[in-house]
Amino acid sequence: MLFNSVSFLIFFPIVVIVYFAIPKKFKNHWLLIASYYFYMSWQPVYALLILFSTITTFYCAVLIDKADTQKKKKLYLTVNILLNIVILFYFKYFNFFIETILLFFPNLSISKNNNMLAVVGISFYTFQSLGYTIDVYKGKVEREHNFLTYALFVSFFPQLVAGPIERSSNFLPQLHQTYKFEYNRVTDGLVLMAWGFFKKLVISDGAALIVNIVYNDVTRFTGIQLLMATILFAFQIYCDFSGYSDIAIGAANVMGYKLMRNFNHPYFAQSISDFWRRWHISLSGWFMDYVYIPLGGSRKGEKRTYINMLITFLVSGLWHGASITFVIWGLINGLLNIINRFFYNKIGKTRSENPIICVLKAICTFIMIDFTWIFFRANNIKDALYIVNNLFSDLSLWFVNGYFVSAMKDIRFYANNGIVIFICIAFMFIIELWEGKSELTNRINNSIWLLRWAFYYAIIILIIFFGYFGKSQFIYFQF
Amino acid sequence: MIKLIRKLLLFLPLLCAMIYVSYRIDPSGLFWGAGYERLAVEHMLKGEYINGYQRLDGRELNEIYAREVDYAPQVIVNGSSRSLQIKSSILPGKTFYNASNVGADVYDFYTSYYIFAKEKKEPEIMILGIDPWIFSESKESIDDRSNKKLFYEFIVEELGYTVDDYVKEDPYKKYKALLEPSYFQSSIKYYKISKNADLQPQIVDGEQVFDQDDIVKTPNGAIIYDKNMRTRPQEEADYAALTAANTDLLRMADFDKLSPYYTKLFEDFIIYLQNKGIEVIFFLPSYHHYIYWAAEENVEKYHCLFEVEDYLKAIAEKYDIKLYGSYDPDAVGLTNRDFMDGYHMREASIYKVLKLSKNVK
Repeated sequence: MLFNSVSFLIFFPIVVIVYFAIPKKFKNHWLLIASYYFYMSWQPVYALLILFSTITTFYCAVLIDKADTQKKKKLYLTVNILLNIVILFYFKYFNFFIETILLFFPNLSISKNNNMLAVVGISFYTFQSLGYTIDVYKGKVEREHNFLTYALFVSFFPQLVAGPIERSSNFLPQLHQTYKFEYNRVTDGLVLMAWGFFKKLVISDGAALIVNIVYNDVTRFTGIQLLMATILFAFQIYCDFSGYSDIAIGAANVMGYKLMRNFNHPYFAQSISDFWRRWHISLSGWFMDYVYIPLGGSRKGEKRTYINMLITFLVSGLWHGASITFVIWGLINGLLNIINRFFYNKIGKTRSENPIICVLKAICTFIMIDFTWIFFRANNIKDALYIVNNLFSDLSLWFVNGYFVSAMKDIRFYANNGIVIFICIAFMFIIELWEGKSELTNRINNSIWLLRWAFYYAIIILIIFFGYFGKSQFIYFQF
Repeated sequence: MIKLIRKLLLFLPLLCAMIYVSYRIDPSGLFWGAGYERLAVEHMLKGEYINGYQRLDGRELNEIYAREVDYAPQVIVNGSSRSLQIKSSILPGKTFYNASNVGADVYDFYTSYYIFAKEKKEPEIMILGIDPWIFSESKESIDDRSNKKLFYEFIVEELGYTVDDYVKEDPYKKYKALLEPSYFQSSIKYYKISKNADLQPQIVDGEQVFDQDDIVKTPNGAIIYDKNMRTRPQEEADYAALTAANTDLLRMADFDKLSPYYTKLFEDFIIYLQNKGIEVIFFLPSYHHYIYWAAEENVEKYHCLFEVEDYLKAIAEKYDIKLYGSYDPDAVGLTNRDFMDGYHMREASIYKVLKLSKNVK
């Protein structure tokens, strides 16, 4: 069940109304049923995988908690991590692994499992449940005693398939509380959901129509067309994923739960490292806490820090998908972060208040990040390299009369409302600037009613007029 | 909660506006039928003639007509283009509609009636222009344009047949569309396009209907073939027939036996009509001599043509039905001058054969 589907528009109000109507002691049961129903709408049998992950992590945490020696605790944790990683590996990386082996040893008699369907959100819930057991092992959180509450922690439907990857320390205590209907909180949640739908349906899905034309047949297109598709992809993926996060956070907020913020205006970032503090915050934090720091972080000298950074980004690339393009994307990001750190160490951190310099730095960061997106989106390395080599192949023609318009027509830029998409991107940036360090809902609540209602109406009118209502998946579902 | 509902109601005007626009423009013709055909029907109901029948979806147009006409026509004709020239003058004084379709197949044969029955506008007289291929199970006899879903709906809902993969259409489907923003977006796009004059049906002045280079649709559903077709020299018409006779006969090449399913269906249909008190008349439009002779010379291949006629005569006798015409032009005294090509009789020649006014009250 996609957030952007009619089924969800029916499902969600029913879940919320029943949630507020039933007695306190049944609320979590109800949410658990709703969450499993939500997940089973994709592939019912894969609910068993969540159940497996839930049971193993829950009972491993029990064993870790009860173990009398550190050695035993470590053993249980290792077994638990291995169990879950094996499942993740099999359902997500097995075919990629076989392909890679066959690439080097083509005569081996092994084959891929072509019947295997992608398990929606497996990386998200596996990481969330693993995070819990590691936290219990480290003594950061107490183990959860109620299995059903823990099952809900793993499967809570708003964030089940594409995050945010919640920390047990933040989310589990919330599941022990009950929330009543509160007008302000519910409307805040609904506004955030509407904003997420706007980003997803209008900007992301609109941009996807143009991006897909180019990226699915790259050799047909010239520099300016490749460039336009690459720029649009940066907004497609941002609005797709942050749109999903907004809907998830908003939906949880309606019911009273506060999920962590997952994006903090990443395209305003002043450097690559700043970008990664603002993009997919829940995952970056997870890798920081459970990969980078255990590897030694920055405590073991500069060279080791660089190696740790590189490993972390490589794992992050692999987390995103079983494909060499994701690995290269992770590698490039790792290298850019190392370069970034290297220069900051040499020249020292400078924080300019000059808006022009800030804008220039944000543009430079955007260009670097957008370059890495080429590898993220390209169907294969050959395509990615073709795009990189040809981005400026027709530079001399860009200002020839009529060339730009004709090139854009060729990628159906105008037919797919390309101009409207850019206007909406500008609108989104204005709202993000206005939002500043506060939260969107706070900003809106503190505005005069006319501005507030103008915003609501603008969002809904834009969705109705320009939203794309095909069955488009969220990009991050595959991860 | 009440406060939230009250605030949400403030979005109601937006929803109403969206529904209204979608309903009025109705780009998929869910409520008003397809735009071009919808306009054509509006003209027809005003008694106007429409030029460019080829650009119309005849099946869609008939459906809209059946829905929009505010009375039940007393006489309805169904059949293929071979029956499409039958006009109201065949039975003066009675309200009339020719629901035949170009390229009509077995599905159209039944749906041409059902579109009126669905609207509770059943006729008193049903003239069935019967082409032999409606008893064929060959794929070649099926036209892509016919409405299969409607056909299955008819035989399941009205004749009580069982069809394995028949799924009754969701009666609320069209209302759900009004709530879909994508339908609203299509409405806006459609509105912009439909303003184009080229997409408006062209009205023909009554006096000039016989002087057109295009096929004209008359207000009662019949067509007037273009001037070129009607006034072509007889040699040219005969040559067209000869050319057609030298290739596989229309929808007959793979017709190797009368389908038991379709013959049973046909009989059930006749009984169903008679039970409703509808007078049924059979009309067998003749083939040009060249075509008929080609069939006679190759009986092995075209035996079904003769078997269908024998079968229809037997059914007419069994159910006391008047039968006019014959696939054999000689049997009804037609010469080559009665044809515009191999398959289409001239309008006046149809009336020579179909002498209804003397026999029908």
